[in-house]
Amino acid sequence: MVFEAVRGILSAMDEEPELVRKAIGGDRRAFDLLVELHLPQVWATVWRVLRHREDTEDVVQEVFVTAHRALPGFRGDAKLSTWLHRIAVTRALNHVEKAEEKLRRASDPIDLEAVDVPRAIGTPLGALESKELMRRLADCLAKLPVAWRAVLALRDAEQNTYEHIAETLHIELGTVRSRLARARASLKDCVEGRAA
Amino acid sequence: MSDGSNGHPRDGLSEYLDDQLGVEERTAMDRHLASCEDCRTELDALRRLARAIGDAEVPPIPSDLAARIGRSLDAATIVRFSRRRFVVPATIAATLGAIGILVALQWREGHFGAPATPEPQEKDRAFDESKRLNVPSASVATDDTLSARQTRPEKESIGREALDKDVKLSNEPALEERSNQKKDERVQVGVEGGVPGGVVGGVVGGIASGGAAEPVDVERRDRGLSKVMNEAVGVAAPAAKAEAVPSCVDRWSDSGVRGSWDVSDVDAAERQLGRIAHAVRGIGLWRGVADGRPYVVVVPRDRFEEVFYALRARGVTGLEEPPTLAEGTDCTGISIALTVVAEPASPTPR
Repeated sequence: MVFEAVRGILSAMDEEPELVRKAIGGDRRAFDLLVELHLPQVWATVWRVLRHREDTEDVVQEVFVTAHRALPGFRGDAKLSTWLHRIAVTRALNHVEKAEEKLRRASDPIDLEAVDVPRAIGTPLGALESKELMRRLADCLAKLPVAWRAVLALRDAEQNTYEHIAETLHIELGTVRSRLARARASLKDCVEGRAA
Repeated sequence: MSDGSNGHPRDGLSEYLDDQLGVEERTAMDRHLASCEDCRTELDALRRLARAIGDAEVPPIPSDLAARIGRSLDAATIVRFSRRRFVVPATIAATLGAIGILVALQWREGHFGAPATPEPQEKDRAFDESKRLNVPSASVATDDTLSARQTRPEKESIGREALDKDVKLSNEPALEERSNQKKDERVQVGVEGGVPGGVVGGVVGGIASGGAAEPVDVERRDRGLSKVMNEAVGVAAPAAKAEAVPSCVDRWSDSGVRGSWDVSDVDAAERQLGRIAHAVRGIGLWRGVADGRPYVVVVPRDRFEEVFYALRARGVTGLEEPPTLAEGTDCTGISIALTVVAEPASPTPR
């Protein structure tokens, strides 16, 4: 069963250029196959930036609707996955910028102090059990500013180059460096239960 | 590489971790790490953290998400189609109107039956005459007069812009992420505010679009049969308003109104919501299907009551009286939770 699914995906990847051509020509079935093929990657990217399940569902839908609308402008210079990745990150960041989001999150300000960890103890990260580390990491990531979370997602989770991150986020290379350094330091302090 | 406190190059550790330092900086960092246990511990912690971020769990994709994406695509296609439907006839009507004016002017000038393309002097005369009459000259409909737009009456330029927008609409856009919503806005203006209000709008637009918006009929409204409702149900062409109304795509506030709707056909319900939103130049936000999370219909504030009663008339419950809207943006959203029932909701027989 799993083998069949993997073979189906590999087959679809081989056929991707043809699927793209058909989708541009208005073949809805071809676009649906492209959605199936790229949904896991888009889902993971948007989740890592937003870390909010319902928002992720909404944005992932937006990503594919946007991609469908813009597909005729896809020139094939980059891979479709790269193109979709860029849309996904941009949409996720835009989502946070929207007024409704600002309103909703205004009642839940980013407050590293509020993270549910034993603050008085200040456990060094190296001493944390793996399961505890992951629990604290999830809490702390959700509290980080979205701009920091985005660079962490693109670098540490997806292993993108600094150049690719700069291009995707429309920021300078130096900003990628400084933002990553600050994000990592804050996240580490948060996970260890120290003031950020 | 910047130094942190007490001479520890903490910021540089992040770049060191990613192998982003130059040869000299890397060598210096190696030397420092060899003699600094604190920095080695810090580096190990950052490395472990980075690995943990990579290993962090991503929740499973909802099993119905692909289907929902499909429905979103359908909805987007429906909305785009319905927008285009009104653009093309309106554009044709505008062009025909301009031609009509040309013929009338030619007749007035006694040129009827003369060569189709006037000589330059005749063209100038026609233009002078059109300025005197404050109506566009024959050349309005041709591209070679675009450069002269600034010299024409304001109405004319509005009409030309609207036509330009139509052209843009017919060309599929290249990917410009942050401009996509603007494109939607252009579409809305082009369809519903532009052409009818443009140069030939005064002459033709009213006919093409069915006239200006009517005020809400209170009696019909109270019966729940508002104009919006009739438009939505009867698929009539939406009424055009002359004044520009800001797009609801970019900014809107929550009205606080929460409705529930029992439906047997989700697709049909989506279409109804889409039509209602479209009829008042609002937007429908598709936020999942029948799983308790609401759809949000976003509408201009000044059409809020119409939409409120239209939704109520469709069987959306929980809408008692329209609230007084708080000050805020020009658009406001009504949340509607869909629940799928086996049969269409109907009063219980006694």
